[in-house]
Amino acid sequence: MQVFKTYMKILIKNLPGTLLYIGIFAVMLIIMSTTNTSSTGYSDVTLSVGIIDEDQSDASAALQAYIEKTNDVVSVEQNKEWILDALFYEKIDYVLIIQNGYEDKLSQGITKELFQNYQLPGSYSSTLFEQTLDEYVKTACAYLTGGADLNAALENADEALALEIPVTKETFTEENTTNFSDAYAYFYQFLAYILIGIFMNSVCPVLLILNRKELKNRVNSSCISQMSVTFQTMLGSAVVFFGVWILLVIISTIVGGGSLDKMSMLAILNSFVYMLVAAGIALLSSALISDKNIVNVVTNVVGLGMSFLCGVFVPQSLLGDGVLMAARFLPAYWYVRVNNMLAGISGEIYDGSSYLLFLGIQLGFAVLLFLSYILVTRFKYQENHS
Amino acid sequence: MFLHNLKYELIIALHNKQFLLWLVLFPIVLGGLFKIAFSDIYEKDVVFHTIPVAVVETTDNPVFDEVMEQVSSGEDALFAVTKCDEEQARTLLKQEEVKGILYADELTLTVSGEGIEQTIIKSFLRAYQVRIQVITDLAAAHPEQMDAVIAQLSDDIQSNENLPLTDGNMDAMIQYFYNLIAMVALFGSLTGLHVSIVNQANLSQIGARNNCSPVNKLVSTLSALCGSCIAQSLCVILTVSYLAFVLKIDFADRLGFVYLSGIIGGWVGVTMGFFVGSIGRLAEGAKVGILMSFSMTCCFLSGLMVGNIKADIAAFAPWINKINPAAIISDSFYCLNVYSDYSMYIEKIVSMLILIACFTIGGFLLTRRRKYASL
Repeated sequence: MQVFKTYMKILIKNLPGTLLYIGIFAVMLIIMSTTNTSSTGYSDVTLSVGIIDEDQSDASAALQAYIEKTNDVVSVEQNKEWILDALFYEKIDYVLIIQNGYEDKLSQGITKELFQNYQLPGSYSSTLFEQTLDEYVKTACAYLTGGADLNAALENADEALALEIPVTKETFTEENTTNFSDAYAYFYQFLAYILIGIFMNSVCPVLLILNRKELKNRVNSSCISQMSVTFQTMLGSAVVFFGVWILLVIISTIVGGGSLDKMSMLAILNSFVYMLVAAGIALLSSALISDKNIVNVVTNVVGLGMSFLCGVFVPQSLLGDGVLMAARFLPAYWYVRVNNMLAGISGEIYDGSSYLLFLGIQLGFAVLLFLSYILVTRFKYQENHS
Repeated sequence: MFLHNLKYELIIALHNKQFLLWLVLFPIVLGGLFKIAFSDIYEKDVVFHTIPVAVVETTDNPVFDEVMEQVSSGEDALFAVTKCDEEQARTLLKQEEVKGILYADELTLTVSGEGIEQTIIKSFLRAYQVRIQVITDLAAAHPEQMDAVIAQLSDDIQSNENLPLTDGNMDAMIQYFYNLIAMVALFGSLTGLHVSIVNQANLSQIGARNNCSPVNKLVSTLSALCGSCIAQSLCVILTVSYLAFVLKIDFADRLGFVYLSGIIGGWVGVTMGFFVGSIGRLAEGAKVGILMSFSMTCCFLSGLMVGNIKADIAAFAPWINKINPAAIISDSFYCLNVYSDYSMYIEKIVSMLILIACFTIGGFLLTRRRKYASL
């Protein structure tokens, strides 16, 4: 096991750098998983609305109270740049300016020029908010027309619009996924990128040293067979792969609140199979790369590219059909689909047979990658001896 | 001597084919993938489209039918209505052909997911029921006003004026391309690192040879740094050109300034690498690790992986965005896109120039007058 021992020596020497990468990626993973949320029971979408009240009247206060019931009213700075930034980065959906004279106009039943707004024109959020606002104004005006005074009309409108419509959420799922917390779901979602990042940055530098011409020639001139060298190299890498994976599973359990139900176990099994895929990618990349400076560039091309295409950072439901069709030829697509099934992301529904099928496809990719790695190392060995 | 060194620095940079290939390939591949993946997300997720719904009605409800007819006709229709029985409606819902089932008899709603489309359907249904309630209430109290009340509820109102904000591209997905250019710029840190490594006798054999030569160290280091900046500028120019002309990314008619900020961003990367390379006696591999980890963290905090993370950071620690090189570089593109004046853009360019000055002066201070007793 001379090669394995050498592998371990180099690995220990590179340990500070490896730990640095693991630490950074683990922190990124925790930040990403905790900043994304979704919910499983039915609830209305809540818009983030900024209100600038120029009227400062009882009527404008009543309108604000009404808006607050169904939306998050956030404080806004009254400068265009701030509003523009907030709209662009989706921190705010709509900014409503209640114009001076709102109360007077409304009390006379005038509905023109009551408000001004900043919005992403033609967006869903604008449609929803304006639908709600129009309904409030119309209902209040209807009560005014019916003979009520302004205060009574606003109160009646507020009461009438508090009416709740019964909504049933039909999930079409076979199993309950409610114990699968958002943080846990997104942790495993982003793991698809993180595993490749850590594996490439921790294993490739070691393998690049082992692949140096002088060292390679010394190993090749020994009595150890090429197959044994490849096997020992893979064994050494496996220590890193398993070690990192176990560490991340432990972190995921902490992030997820410590409970391990059936769905969580299925997610862990899915990540284990994907870990084999990521290991294959890292090994194959190390056999093809010869410059340590480009490891990070390659990692980003492979890791980020596959993640964006397969729906790791952006939900698969938002990606186009053509993109998803192309993504089927990449292992991360199947990993994400399993995770979506387990967590109910992108409208996916859990199905036992699909789960096994998708796991099988990932295993197929892993086998293909490992075989490619063995073939490339064998080809390079033969090239050296010819 | 400066020009002589500069010439050879450029030749050396161009000879590192594998690194250059990947540095150019990185934005081409990722930019292409971004384009494929994000091209219709804004159109699909943000821009309103008619919502498909199924209506289940067992008894005749002419008022409801008329309202549904109104909201489902015209170019800017709210709904595309499919009238069917419950079984068919559930099949359509399961196949995601419709976003919700409206039961006209009980005025209830069944959905399979939750999102803004479902909320709009619910909001519509509530508005319909509220109107019925208002008419019923007022018909009892003030029957003489009924015509006016119905007209009030039915007429379209123009109470809300939309104020224009920008002529720029408001598709938030464009920031991924900004961050991609920022990452290419920060990858230039590897060439900057190379400059400090080949000028330190204890870190490389070339460094030892360089230190023995009679060339002024300031001149040789400065020429190497300029050579790296030129090579990095070429990479950034290629990246921006590819994004603008091949992928047709909308940089809001200010392409010249996009090139300028990209090039200056590249210099930030080069000088950052030079500065980190000048610190301490760590081996090249360790410094590469530190630089790449730092660059990646900067790009992560700037929104390369999670698009709006920069806005979250701005809410609780805005100073991070002001010193994060990747955030400054990507913000400069953003300023060009959405702001009509150049004041914010100039602020970002000045920030980058300050970073370049700090990194360069810091690097020179760390490497100047260094003596080696034995190598």
